[in-house]
Amino acid sequence: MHGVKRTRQTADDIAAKKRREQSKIEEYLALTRDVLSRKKASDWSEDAFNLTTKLLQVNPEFYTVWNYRRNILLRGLFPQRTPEDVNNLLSEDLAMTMTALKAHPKVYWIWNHRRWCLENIPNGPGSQEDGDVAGWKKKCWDRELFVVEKMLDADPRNFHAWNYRRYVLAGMPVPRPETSELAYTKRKIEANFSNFSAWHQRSKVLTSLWSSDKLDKAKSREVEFELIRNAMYTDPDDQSVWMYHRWLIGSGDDQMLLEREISVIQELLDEQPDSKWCMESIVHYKLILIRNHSRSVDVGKLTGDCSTLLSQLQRLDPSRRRRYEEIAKNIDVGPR
Amino acid sequence: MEDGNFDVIIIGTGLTESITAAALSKAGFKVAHLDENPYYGGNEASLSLEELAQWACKHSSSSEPVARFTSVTRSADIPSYARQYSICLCPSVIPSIGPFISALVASGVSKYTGFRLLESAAVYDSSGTLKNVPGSKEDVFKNKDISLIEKRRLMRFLTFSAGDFEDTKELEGSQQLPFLQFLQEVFSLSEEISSVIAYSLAYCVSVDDATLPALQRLRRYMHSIGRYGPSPFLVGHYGGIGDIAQGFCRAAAVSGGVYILGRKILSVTPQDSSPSTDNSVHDTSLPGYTITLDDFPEPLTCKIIISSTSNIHPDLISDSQPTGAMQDVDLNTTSVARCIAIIDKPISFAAVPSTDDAEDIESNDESTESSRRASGRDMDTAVLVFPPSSLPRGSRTSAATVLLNGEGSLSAPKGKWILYIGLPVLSSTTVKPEDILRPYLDAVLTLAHDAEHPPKPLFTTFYMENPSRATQSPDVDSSSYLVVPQADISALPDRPDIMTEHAETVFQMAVRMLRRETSSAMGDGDVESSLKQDFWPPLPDDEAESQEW
Repeated sequence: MHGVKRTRQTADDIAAKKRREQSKIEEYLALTRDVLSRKKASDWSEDAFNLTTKLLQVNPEFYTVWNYRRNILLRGLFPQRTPEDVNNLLSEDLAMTMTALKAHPKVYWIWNHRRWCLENIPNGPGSQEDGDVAGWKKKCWDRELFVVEKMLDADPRNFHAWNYRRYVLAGMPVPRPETSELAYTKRKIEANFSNFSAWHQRSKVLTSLWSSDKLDKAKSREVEFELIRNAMYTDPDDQSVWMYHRWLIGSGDDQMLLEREISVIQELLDEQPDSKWCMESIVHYKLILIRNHSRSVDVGKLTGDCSTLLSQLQRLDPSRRRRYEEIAKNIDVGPR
Repeated sequence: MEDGNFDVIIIGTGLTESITAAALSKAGFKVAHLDENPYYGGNEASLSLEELAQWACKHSSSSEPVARFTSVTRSADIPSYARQYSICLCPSVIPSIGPFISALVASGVSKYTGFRLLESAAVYDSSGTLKNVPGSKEDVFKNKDISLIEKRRLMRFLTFSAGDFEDTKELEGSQQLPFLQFLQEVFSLSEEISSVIAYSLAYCVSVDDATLPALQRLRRYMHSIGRYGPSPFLVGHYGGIGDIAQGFCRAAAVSGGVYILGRKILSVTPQDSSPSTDNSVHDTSLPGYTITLDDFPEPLTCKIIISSTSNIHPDLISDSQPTGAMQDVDLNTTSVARCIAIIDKPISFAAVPSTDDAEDIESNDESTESSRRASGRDMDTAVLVFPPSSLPRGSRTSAATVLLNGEGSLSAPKGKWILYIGLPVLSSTTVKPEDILRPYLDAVLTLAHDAEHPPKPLFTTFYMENPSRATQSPDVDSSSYLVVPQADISALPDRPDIMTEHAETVFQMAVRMLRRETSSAMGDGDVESSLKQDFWPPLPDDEAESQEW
């Protein structure tokens, strides 16, 4: 374990440790036997519930016991309880899993239990008439978003957290406007644009906004090109930037767009002649030009450009020599 | 205090002297530390507003022509809550990596006080606006004032400056070239960006600053980014350096050092050195000194005295103690014109972000506190640099720095801010500090939120800080009066590190002298190996753990 000093132990110490561990092991086994036998006997009592709490504290990866716990809630504790009581029980379980997560942040079963709790929050405290039917839900889901944001502050590149964020955003009773999610990705990108997940999320949000016409696609895309160009020039070695650029170019149907971006990248290459990503992207886009717009471009010149760049790439990036050779070979095959 | 006999007596509780005192005490030597002032910190002290006013009065009536502080003036009124201010005579920012931080951690003194990360750094543009300083990849990416090509060149330069540039072909032959010229010729950077790099990233002080030292400074600051946050610099609580000097004194006292403040030193006399019995060339017994203090019963004796030049007692200046050549104040030396002002309106030191379509499309989710802070309002701890020729009535050859300290640095009460302005000038200048610095103060005040009615400071003081005279440490064998080198005019972040290095030099010298004497008395043959001493002893275990960061 990290940060724990290894101390010298005498033979006596080791023996004493083994004895202490032995009693712990026996305790654990007894507890397990107890819980599982109750489960088999369909014991949905509060006693059983408390025993699962104890067991899961020691071993949160015992997913059978998580299942059992959920069944106790559904079949034993929820029936004949007011919605308010149900909400309180679920809130307590959310708090309990929060504590468990601090000690075991990567255990999937704890996250699953959280999702289950969120999804089972009852309607209330108000009713359909007074408009606060989703009051409890709003509170819990808002807090969940806060938890995810704290995680992403600590590690903005944790793709599990980004995935969970998408789950939370989708499940919120009052959905956040997508434009605020766009602003969130912008903040994360500005903090450090070497972040595939943030760019990826941005692309998903933009796709949704464009297809629902909430955002003018042409204008917005220009803004994105401006943004990505700044990233490109600031750090041409950052792969996530080039991936996003590829997504922006899309299918390559727009010849003017392709040619414009190629010249932007060429300017960067002139300034930074050893940038392998510039070369590779120019090759990639010129090949698209050849493929999609063969009638309106100088195929011969473009092919020549690509061959030259590919041989430069072989020298610059020898670990991928074979890949560049392969691409070069396929150009000569000609447009389909 | 049992007896007045010490290994070392240190006169003056400035930062260098205080670090030395702590190190010597922790190394087991008997130390007495004296200061004629009733407060700690000497020329780097952190003072309350009342103390600062008294200090200003005392120094404005000083008649010494080559005193450290001259031409001191101050405004008449003293604002309320005077005791809640901690104003430092040596305003500094502390690089996150360097000798000073290491000394703070290794000595345990970092526990005695807190620190605040510098929130923003800006540079004054000749158009009268502020621009953000692009010191990191993120800053460069977000910056709206730099063209794409220039961003690439700037990043290329920043990467170069953070690496091992000593033997590169870019640097070949250019080490002594003016830094501005180097940036424009070798890295094809524009005049504007070069100025920003030189003055607000590398903290050059003049247009002539050479390339190699500037690059070395810049590299240290670049490496300091990220240790505690996005800025390379920390600002100390309770007035910064002065409070930290007091912390080192406390550490010395905890290890047995004796402190006597506020007593005038009446005399300092060398004792006759005892003749060696066998007339050997290596007579290592130290001459020693006796010091008498005003209103103090016993005289104090010691083997070594340590002090700065400004604290050398008149009795000894005429003595034959070789404390280094006393230079006349050279016509070409540099002083620093300083201003301390207190204001009660916040000032934004961040450039106002230009709005464009992108900002309109994305809803401003200002719900997080950090985005509110980043938008430039409510700045608490920040630096603003005025490059040469950026201000119409300002200097054409030197850069001015402005350090802002608000309540977050625990140096000012709520709703009040301290402004420190510093500008290197020729020592020979006859222009008053107030006349030199007024344009800068006025420019800063118009940056307050209400530009139509710039705030009037509640208190101001202007003064000149002059370099010290002698700079050499004495020859070890013939004197046991060690003179602390002065950290004079240097880049804003450098003084604490320079002072720490000086402290270590003096510490090692003192240890060598003291050990040599002890071991020769005991007939110890192998002397040299035992003479080197770790600057700080290892911290006890529970202390060490709390230093984890």
